[in-house]
Amino acid sequence: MLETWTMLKREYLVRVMRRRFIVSTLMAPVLWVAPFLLPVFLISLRSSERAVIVLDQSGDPELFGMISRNLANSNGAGTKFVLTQQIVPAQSDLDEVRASITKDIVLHADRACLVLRNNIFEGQNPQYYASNVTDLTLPLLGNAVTSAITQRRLARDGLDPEKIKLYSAQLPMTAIKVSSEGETSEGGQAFLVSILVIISVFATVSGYSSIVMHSIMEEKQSRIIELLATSAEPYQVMASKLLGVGLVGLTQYAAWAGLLMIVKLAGNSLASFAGFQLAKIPLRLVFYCSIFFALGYFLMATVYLIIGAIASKPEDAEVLRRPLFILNIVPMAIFWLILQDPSGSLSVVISMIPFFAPTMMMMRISLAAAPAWQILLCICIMVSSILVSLWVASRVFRMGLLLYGKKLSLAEVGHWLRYS
Amino acid sequence: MKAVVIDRVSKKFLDFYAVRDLSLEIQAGRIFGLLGPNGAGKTTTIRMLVDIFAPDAGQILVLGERPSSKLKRRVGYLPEERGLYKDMKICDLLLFFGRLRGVETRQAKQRVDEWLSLLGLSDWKDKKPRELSKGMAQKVQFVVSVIHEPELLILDEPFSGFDPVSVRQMQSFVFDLQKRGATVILSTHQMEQVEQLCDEICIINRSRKVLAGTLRDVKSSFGQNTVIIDYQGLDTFLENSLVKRVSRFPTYSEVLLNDGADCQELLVRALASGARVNRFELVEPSLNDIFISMVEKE
Repeated sequence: MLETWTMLKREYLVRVMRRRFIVSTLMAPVLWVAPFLLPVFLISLRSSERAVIVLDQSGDPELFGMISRNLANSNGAGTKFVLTQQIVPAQSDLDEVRASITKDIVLHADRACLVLRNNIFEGQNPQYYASNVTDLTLPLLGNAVTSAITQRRLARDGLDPEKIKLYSAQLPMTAIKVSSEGETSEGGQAFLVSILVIISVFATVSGYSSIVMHSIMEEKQSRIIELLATSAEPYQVMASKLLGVGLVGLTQYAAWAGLLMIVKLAGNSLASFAGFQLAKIPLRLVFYCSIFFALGYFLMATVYLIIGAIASKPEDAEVLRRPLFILNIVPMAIFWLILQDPSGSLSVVISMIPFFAPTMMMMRISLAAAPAWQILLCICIMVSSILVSLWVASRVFRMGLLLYGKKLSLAEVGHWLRYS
Repeated sequence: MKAVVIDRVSKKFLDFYAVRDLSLEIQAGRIFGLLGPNGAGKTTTIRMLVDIFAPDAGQILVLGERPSSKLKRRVGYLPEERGLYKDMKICDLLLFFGRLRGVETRQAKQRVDEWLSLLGLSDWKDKKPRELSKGMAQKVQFVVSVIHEPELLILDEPFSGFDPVSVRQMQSFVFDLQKRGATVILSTHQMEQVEQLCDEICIINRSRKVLAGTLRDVKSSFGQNTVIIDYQGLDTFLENSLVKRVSRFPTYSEVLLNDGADCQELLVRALASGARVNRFELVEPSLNDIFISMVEKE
């Protein structure tokens, strides 16, 4: 016991006392969410203008004004559209007029052309010409134009302008998440929280498992392992490594829970970034993350421990871990399946597969789509898988530890499994 | 009392015998030399003594017990290939290994200070291993193996890489440990060290014991078949059927005679060749010669 505790303490303290640990604890959540939030944030910061010439052949003197008003009311972030009306008589060839403007549009990325043809009220689509048609704020202009056309159609049919305003008012749908904890309105928050959860579990499980492998490799390379093996039982070396590094990971989760508490106490205004409110993340999620990190970590780290023990040099370890890395990546590739139908049978099955379970089940929990019995079943499957991998590790570890510079054959590993 | 008893022990790795039917007894309080060429089975034998490997056949008793985790605190081991944690201070590292072998923290701290002072490394206690010279690091590694004051100390190539002054210092530490009652097993290729330190030896070759006994008995069993000769002139007289092997040193040559060869005949031939002989002495064979002849015979 003393041996395990002494080695565990060293393993834990050496890692937690490093500056790298403190920096990664503070920076990791920001770095994980940044790729998703940064583009939104940058768009909101951008205040570029686009001069749009409106070739108006509709013959309706009110239409342009209505488009401008709708656009002004949309209050959208991003590109600011500055509209200039150019009336085109009904008998003129509108495309000829547009052609004269096209050259200018090609040369200047900040210019565009909106075409409203004479039969616009009879079902002809409005058309937008620009060198860049992937602008994320373009739908705002589109909405302003189609709304204005609808409003003018109704007005031309003699409807009261006040009633038109009422009838054509855009009412965005509010998505409300229903869970055992009650109802909460959504604004993309659930998606971002799910992403944060899946990335945090994925990154910590694979990160800390790798540390275990590298730690064993380092001790084999520096030949310390032989001293450890003569001071303690191999299972004690193994346990201290798994528990020591695992505790570092749990310390990180505890630190994140602490930070979240501070944010919650400080209120929603703090840590609100491009619509994402950190304070809205339930603490329950951090608790589940810790549980599934621990389960995922112990499974993955035990497998990495076996690799570290049987690999004779770091290059061999890298080759051996490649299939695991792919296994690790799979949940990142199929997470949208869960996102689309978190309670569906496919999602349930995926979230029960040992190597996928930590991330996939966590994602379902974050989406409030996993009943308690499924969470419990998943934990049981994970614990069983961990026990199997620990059994294999205990058989291979003792012999593997002392192999330096010798390539192992599968026959040898099989021999150890049978006779160790 | 016997510190180590190895009784008909064998250890196999897949189809390869690393140790085959080895029997040995080491008396407590002795310095024992375990010798053999590379791959002979020395390290596997040692690893069985320190409970890293279990024997496939036979029995091992260390300090009267079968190797187990309980015994680990009574045995010290300095492996041939050794290292230190690069990211720990020397004092913390020694304290860590002391604690790992069950020494109380306060006592471990005291021993760390004592050993570092003895080795002249007190000023380096807060440094990390990467800042030490190779010799300093090796001294720290030696302390790692003795910090818990073991009853049995196993040293695998303990002096390789040391300068002569450090070798003498380490030898005196080994003698001190023996005086305190510890049994020492020394595995090395440096025969000179074995002759200076060991009471008993065992030579292993190709996984089997080929020779064992006290150093004196082993040497006398080979008889006086070695001639130390200091001469001036050509060495053509050494190329004949009397001579088995010649080891040349700057001031003399060591000539191992063939079985039944007469040393007087060699002297006659030397003088006849015109060489001027300054010294001609019949001695016991060196351990180096015994080692080489035993290994070659196999």
